Amino acid sequence: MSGPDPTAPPLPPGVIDRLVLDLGRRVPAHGMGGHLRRRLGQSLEFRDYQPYAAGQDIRRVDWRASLRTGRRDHWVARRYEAEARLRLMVVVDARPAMRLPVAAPKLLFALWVARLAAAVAGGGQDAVTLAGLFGPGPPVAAEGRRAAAVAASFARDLWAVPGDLASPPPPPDDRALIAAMEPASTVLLISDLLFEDSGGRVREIARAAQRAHRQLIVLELDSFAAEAAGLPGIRLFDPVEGRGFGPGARTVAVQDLAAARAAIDTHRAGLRADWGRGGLFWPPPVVWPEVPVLADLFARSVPHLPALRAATARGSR
Amino acid sequence: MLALAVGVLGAGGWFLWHLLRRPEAPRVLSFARFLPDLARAERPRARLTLRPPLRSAAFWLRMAAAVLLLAALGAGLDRPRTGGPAVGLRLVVDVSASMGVADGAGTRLDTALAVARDMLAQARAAGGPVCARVVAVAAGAGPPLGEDDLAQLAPRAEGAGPSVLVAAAVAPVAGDCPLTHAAVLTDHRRPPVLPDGPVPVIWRQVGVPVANAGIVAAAEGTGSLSGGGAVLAVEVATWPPGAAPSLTLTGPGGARDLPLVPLPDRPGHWAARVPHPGAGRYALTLAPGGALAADDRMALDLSTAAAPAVDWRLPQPMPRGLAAASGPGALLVAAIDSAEARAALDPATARPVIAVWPGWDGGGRPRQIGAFVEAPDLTGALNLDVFEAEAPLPLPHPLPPGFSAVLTDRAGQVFLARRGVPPGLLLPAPAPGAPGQAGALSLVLFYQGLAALAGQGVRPLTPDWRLADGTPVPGAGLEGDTARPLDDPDPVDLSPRAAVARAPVWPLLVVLALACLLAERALALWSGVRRAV
Repeated sequence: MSGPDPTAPPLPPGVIDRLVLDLGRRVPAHGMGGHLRRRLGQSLEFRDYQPYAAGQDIRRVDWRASLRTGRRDHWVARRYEAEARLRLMVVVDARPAMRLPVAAPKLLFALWVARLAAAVAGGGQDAVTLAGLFGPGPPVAAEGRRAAAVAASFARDLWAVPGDLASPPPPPDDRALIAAMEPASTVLLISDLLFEDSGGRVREIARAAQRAHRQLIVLELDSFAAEAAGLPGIRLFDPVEGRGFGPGARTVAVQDLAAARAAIDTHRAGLRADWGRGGLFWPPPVVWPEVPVLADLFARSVPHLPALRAATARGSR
Repeated sequence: MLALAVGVLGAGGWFLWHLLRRPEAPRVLSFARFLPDLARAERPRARLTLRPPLRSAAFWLRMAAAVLLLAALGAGLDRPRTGGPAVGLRLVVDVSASMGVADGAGTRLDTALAVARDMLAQARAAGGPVCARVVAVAAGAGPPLGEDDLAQLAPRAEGAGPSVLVAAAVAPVAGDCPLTHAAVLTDHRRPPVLPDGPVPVIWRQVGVPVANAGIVAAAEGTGSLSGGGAVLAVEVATWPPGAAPSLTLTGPGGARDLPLVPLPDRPGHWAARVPHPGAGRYALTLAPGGALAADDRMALDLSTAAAPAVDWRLPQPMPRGLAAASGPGALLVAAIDSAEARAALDPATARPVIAVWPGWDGGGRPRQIGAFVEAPDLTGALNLDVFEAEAPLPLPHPLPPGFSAVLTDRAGQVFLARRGVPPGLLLPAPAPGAPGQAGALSLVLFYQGLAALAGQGVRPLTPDWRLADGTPVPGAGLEGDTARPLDDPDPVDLSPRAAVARAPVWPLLVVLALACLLAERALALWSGVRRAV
């Protein structure tokens, strides 16, 4: 490969190092990691005291506190917060239509977010799974420092396969995605949500992502304003995902765009209602301006991305 | 050629039409499936259409504010502002020395002020608002005064020419009195042509003609090569032309009358030309001086108008009109091979110099003239045909730095060369005894060069007219002609007119720019509130 990697997040050096995962407090975790959870465990973070019981680690006894109880047979043991390792699964909508608008492709934005999240998670010794929705190839997983490299390879492969824009996308491999979801703590779905889910496979994926205390975060990408800018008038159209308008130029009225906007809003509201099972977090969408500069849009969006926060600002979302 | 041009234009037009009619590339929309069925276009869309680049009202408001502010910084931004009928009268009053000349019971200035008051009364009699600004003009125009200041005006010991009066009358409008009329009250005659101003100018000449005599100019001249000494020249005039007055020179040598002779080409003008009295402070007095006293006396600061200083190193005798001198300031006349001449030709020790070589010793010889420079002061009296027949030997050395050839032969050898600063000449030495016409040629060429560098000159003296008490009167020479006939006065029409004023536009532009910025801010606030809701 020659030239710069387009899927590399356009961020100044050091920004990634100042970010950490922020996946909320209710998602499940496993193993030892860098996140403090509201479970008891082994860490240096003191939580509270409990009466010592036979069989517990004698090193946990706080002898000073035990003496202050005034009872020689009543020892007090310290309890600590557990440090847990999280797993983040990033699912990127890889439909060819995600490569629109041509000047600021949504897919590129999604890949930047995926690589950023993977790098941040890997830096925090967390695990990452990356998968393409409607996309080629099985999910890939990595932990720790390898996560960034695996995510870069995943993004480059995804970006290198343009796909057929005119035809409807193939149905997603919901079984593979759900199977890869098992060890995951949080599923981050990045999509414009303009796909047709007639078979309900995406719905199954979304619901599976909320089972077993998992959490689904939907990062919605809305490029309607950028694509509709300057559209009213007489235009020629190429078919997209099977939708065409026939040969010859067509007249696009402002009312047509308003109807499309309303239909999209209805569609997304339907998905939200259909997917919601208690573990759904759906923040406001990332909106493309009429004249988007994708790198600027990404840089402005980073502080507001779900699942990420600045390392100095601790606290739950 | 015409057919080719038509063909090119036609092809270009067809290509442009093709571009305009050609539909643009098809669009692809990720939300295509959410669009309703679209109607087929009845005509193809033009490829190029005029459309604002941005539809943001805030952007255009900011652009408008920027353009307005830039326009406010521009030049020529004033606009005519006309009000209702009124009289805005600018009275330009000549208060120069000649306005103090007696005129009837008073002075010419009194007459002018009476005319001014008549004009104001006439303006008020016509009804409507009246405002007046008085501009007193002598050597220069003063600040605008109110009509109440008319009584305070008095003649000044200064001279005023018509040009200053005209400039004051046609000056741009300023101040709070919109201009509708302008009048000039003076003892000068109306100029044949007046420049265009904001309003037409009424020229009113005052003062009955009275006789006067005055000193016009003075100059001092250095001596000449022919032996003439330095001179003092004075010119006086009488208006109207009459008998010669008496001119007296008073100075270090006492007082003496200077004889005046009439100038034949200038009636009424007289000239005195006397030997230079020597350096010092002198005074010229004219009697009788006539109606105006300001031009009857002139102070003179005379310098030492000695003969040109020359450091003569030639065997021939020095001409009588020159003064022997030495030192770096004196003109060195010497053989080119002498040490003094070599030093004078060296750029490091240069001084005024005429360096000669024995070019005509043994007579002249035929030699064709090559390139030469038109230099009338050096070769004007030279007959080049004779010169070609009796040419001297050329410069035996290379041309020194700073010199450029004036006269050369066909081979480029130099006969005559000149340096600008300090002045210098290279030419053949005079050889009066040379055979044939070579002797005369040598004298003509040499003495013409000598006259060019050390010739007689006349230096006009800066006129310094004085009153009897010693008060200087600058520009008194402009005042001497008090015998000008009175022209018919311009018709005076002081009826009210629409005032002509100029109002600056930039405040309006700034206000508009601020309004644009305010609207942009209000729009942003409203948009923010709407988004928040």
